[in-house]
Amino acid sequence: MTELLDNARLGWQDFTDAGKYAALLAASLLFLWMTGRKKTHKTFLIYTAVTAVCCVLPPVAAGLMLYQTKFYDYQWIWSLVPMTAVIAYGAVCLLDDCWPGFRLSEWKRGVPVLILLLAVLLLSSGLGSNVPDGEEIQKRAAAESTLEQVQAEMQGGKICLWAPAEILEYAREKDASIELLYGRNMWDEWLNAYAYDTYSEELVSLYQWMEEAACPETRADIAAVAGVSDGRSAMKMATEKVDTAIKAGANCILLPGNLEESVVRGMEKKLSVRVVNIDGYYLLIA
Amino acid sequence: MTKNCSGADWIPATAVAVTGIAEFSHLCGVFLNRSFHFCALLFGGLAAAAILLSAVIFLAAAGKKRKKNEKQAKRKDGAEKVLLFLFVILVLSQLLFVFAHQPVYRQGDMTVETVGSFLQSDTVYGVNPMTGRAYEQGLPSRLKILCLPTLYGVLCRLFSVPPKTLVWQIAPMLTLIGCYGAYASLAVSLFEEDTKKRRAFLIAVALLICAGGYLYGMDGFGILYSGWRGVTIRNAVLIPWTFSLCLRKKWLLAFVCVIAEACLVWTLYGMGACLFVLIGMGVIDFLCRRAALGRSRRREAAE
Repeated sequence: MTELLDNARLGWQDFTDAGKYAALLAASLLFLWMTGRKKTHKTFLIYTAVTAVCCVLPPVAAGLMLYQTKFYDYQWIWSLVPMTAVIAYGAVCLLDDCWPGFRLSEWKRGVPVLILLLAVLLLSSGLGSNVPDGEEIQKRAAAESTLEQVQAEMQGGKICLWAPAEILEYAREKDASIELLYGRNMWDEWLNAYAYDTYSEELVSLYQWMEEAACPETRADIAAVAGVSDGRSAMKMATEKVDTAIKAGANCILLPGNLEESVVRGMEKKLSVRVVNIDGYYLLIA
Repeated sequence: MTKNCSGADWIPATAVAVTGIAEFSHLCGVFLNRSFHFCALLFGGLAAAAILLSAVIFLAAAGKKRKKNEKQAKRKDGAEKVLLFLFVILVLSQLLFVFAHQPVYRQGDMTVETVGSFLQSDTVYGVNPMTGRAYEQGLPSRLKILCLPTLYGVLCRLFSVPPKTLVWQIAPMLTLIGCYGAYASLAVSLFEEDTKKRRAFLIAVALLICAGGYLYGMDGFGILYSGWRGVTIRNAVLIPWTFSLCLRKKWLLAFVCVIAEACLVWTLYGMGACLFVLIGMGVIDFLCRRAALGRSRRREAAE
């Protein structure tokens, strides 16, 4: 319960730090109330005021978070408050009070209010600070290009892939026929709510090894990646991991291109796999 | 206050009807172990029948309205046209943004993978969408009855569209249209016969959506960056329509939104936001009426 209360308190802080729609809602409600609109849509305005207060007060907000399940974050309890509708309603009523009937012949009365309202809106919007950027588009395009090459090498055969997260992230979106040893839910924990399945320790260790191997900071020194002191042990560990992945069902393995060629060639002989160089990766076909 | 249905109600009502048909097809797939192909055919057949039925009702309603409008023909104000023009420009720009804009907020969401799995395996939840392999422990039954992936999958199959295009580009456009339909319906409830105020209200809503994309969970963010999700459809279409219906005291129809939400959003032990809105509005309306009755009785007694 303490955790829930803290989430409610911190959630409110985040909610008001990012933008100021909550302040706009309060201003709109106050304006509608004071100008007598409560008579026409009393139920609507009382409901909005009551639910907004409930969302602000941490104990009640925590109760609402419980109601909508812990699965959703604090901001989702604001779904219960008709924020957009009430702010828009207040804005139209204010504009109508200053510029009755929106008559085009009296546009000079409306323009200053319109400019004021637009400026307030712009300042309340956080100026798009948290908007998703285009970086993911480039990552997806690069991953899809690699996956296309993998599919070409496999010549339409069944693929069960083990690769760094940067590739696996987009594999099932690109083509649902590609099977994976583990999916996006390995690193996006929210997705674990969609199934009771869990990953074995073996698969988790495969994921950890692959991510360490693919990490740019450690690429230069694969021995350090493996946590061992000499190249021979590093090769042994890499071979063990690849062997484990093949036993788990993977027939198509993408290893980061920074691995020493000798390590990969060693695997080729020892595990009887075919090695192909693609897009900065070694593709091992079992 | 007008108690009749307005033309704007058609859009959210269609969204709810499509949800109902998708849910029926989805449940057939899940509980009768039918193939996804069968679900698509069932959905197509039911949707065609529903379209035919609504076309008949729409034509009959339009005929009645035309006669009424002929009697009450009035000239349109210039301001009305300007407001309509502004609104259309805003909506078109948002539709274009949603269709062309690739950055999508997909954290915690696996709709594309789920739709792809349905199409690939020709089953409903036959394989784990994350790996493409069979489920080991299964999935929560509350999740199993949510119909959105089936709806998107069926549309992909019927129109031969890739899952990514349908989920990330087309579905958000449909949500956006549904959103303005719901807000248009709310505008009718709030401003009744004043067309200019209704249009100004819709423009204000469009601007708030544009500017409100600053935080995950806000209406604007949901519509512009994750319009395919159930929670976005709930917040943008179902809740505004529920308010509109509650304001017109159409409580039974508002309850349909509660059921639609249960088919779209994972509410677990919470009963959903639409039910909260419905009960909240109902209780406050009841208390307000009781207070008004008490006041009028006291006034009568004083006289």
